[in-house]
Amino acid sequence: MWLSHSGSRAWSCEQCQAKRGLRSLRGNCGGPLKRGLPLVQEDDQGLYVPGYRVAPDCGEAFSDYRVRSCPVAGSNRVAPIISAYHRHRAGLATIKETYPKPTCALLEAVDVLHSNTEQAIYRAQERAMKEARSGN
Amino acid sequence: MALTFLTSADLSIDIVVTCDKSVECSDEQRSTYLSSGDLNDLGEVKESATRFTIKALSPSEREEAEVRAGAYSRSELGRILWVESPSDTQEKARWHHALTDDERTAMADYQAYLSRVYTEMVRSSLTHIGGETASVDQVNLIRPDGHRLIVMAELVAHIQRISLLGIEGK
Repeated sequence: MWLSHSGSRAWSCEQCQAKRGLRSLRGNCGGPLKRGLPLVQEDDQGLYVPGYRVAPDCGEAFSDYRVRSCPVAGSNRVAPIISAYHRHRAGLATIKETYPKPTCALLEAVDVLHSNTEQAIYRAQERAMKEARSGN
Repeated sequence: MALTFLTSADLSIDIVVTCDKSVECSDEQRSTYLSSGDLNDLGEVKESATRFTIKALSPSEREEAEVRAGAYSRSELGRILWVESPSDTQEKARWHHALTDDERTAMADYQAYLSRVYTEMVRSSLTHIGGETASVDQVNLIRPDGHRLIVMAELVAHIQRISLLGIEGK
């Protein structure tokens, strides 16, 4: 959910398409990460990449997170929820209209998405203000 | 681990339990299956394996299950002790041994509440067994008792997986 705000250094599908072998090292869209992947580390649960390496512009909670499978694949799986959230935000269709009987997980996902989107907007504004100040 | 939750409380899935003699799997395959729900993660699932159909829970169904289990009268001291208890078995045994009688009673009360919550979650979620309409009452008839406990535990794990977001979604 962070990836679209993270700029060119974040993980994206284009990188896997451009670099042969990278897709398999990243777990072929959702599988566990493979040894040899740049920046990969290991703990008792297996291989992981720190969240801030995957999404450089992410918030504090995600930067501490240990990413064990490609988050772009995860984002693609929840793409319909992300679209529903943005449609709701834009006033085009409410979450209730898109999901008349939501599960606990769906509501929690929308909560997480909303909180992360708000934080991303805040960071973008901070960055813009900083750039404006340094430009003066 | 990928995201495996369902978005609508009207959706349901079929699962098998690993104590079924028509299901062959290692401990690792069992653990993977419980977190993915993908039958391909198990070693072998024969045609004769019993299929349990479960639906995802909405927030209101989950709350109703907790209320039916006694959410308003559960022991709060027991809940705090449950949260504080060490995860290591040896350490937990020594920690439990040092509790006062009141604390032990509170802890036992909370564990009984959790067990009732699991039963009520299965009551809200389980719709069919082997294609026939069923409820938690049929699960309670499973013998030997060890198998009944495994079936309950695995059903609850699958219900939580399809109904809750989990750490992967955050």
